[in-house]
Amino acid sequence: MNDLPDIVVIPNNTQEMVRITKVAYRHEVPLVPFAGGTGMGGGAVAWKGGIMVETKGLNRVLEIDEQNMTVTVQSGITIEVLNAELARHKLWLSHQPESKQACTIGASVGCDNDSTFGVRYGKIRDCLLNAVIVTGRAEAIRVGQRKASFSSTGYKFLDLLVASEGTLGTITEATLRVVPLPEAREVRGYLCRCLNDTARGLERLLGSGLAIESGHANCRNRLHFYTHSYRERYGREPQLPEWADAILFLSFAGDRDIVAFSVDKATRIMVDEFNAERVGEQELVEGWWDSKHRLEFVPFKQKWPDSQRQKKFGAAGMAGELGTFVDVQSL
Amino acid sequence: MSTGQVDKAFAELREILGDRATTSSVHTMATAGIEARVTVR
Repeated sequence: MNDLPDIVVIPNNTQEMVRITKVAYRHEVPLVPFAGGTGMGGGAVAWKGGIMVETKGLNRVLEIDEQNMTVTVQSGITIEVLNAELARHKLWLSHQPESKQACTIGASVGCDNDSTFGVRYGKIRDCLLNAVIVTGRAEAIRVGQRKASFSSTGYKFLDLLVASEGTLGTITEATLRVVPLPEAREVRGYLCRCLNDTARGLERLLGSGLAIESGHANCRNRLHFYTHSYRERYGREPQLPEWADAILFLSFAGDRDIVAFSVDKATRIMVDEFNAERVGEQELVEGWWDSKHRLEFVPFKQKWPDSQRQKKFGAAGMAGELGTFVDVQSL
Repeated sequence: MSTGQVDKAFAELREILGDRATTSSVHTMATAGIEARVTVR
């Protein structure tokens, strides 16, 4: 199997993408869109050779509509660059994969990747209003709605596009709903006695109406990842109680007084109802935030320490008793 | 897919895109720093 393209092209707009696709269609040469190169599903691999469409040339912001709180972009713009542009308008795209430095809007739509703020804002589908795709027959079509949300009967082609991995066409433009930049943001960590407590605590907090924008429940192995990072960075062991077997990280965002209240109330809930302890060393908590939002994303570079690599597991599909799930995965 | 198909497609793509269509260089992909070594068959 050949996994390299024969040709690489860099279109700058939809019209060029249409012309490229016509050439591919006429000569029956496969066409594979390639964006930031951070996907792990293999959708960007030219396994039959052919033409690879590098989308970095599709990197312009076409419109920022402050009144309607939308942004229209070309699909190859990275999420980090887009948010830097939006910040000048005090706006923010809440869809934030960890790979935001390299991940593009088109790739987020194509892969339906995760967002660290998904608990509050959902994923890319929740902010995607419409998109322009160039189909395999070189037709440029816009799918989805305009800027207002509404419901209607009929097939939701935009939904079909999300996670299609480029099989339905090459995405060249997208319009997304954006939100105001929060006035304040705080991050906190809570040590728990078991993973179940972090999950139950998170459920409790999300149901409380507090201004939580992200939550990350971590088992003992993942906790060790953060203590390892802390040790590497500061040259000392973080002070954690012996009983700590899991950690819950939270971020809060909104108006300053709402955030202050939310942090205080969340701490009381975790301590009083789940026997948790707030992490005293804020550097450890900042380490979590850095790992999600500030570190350079290096594709396929293992960031876990050697001692933890065999124990890494995904928590997707977890149900029932989390402790049991972790034990099974650790065997 | 034959070499002839690729060659024809490439010639047309060069007409459209100029240097933004390539087959013979080590090409750095987007911001991820991934290199694709592309060669004419």
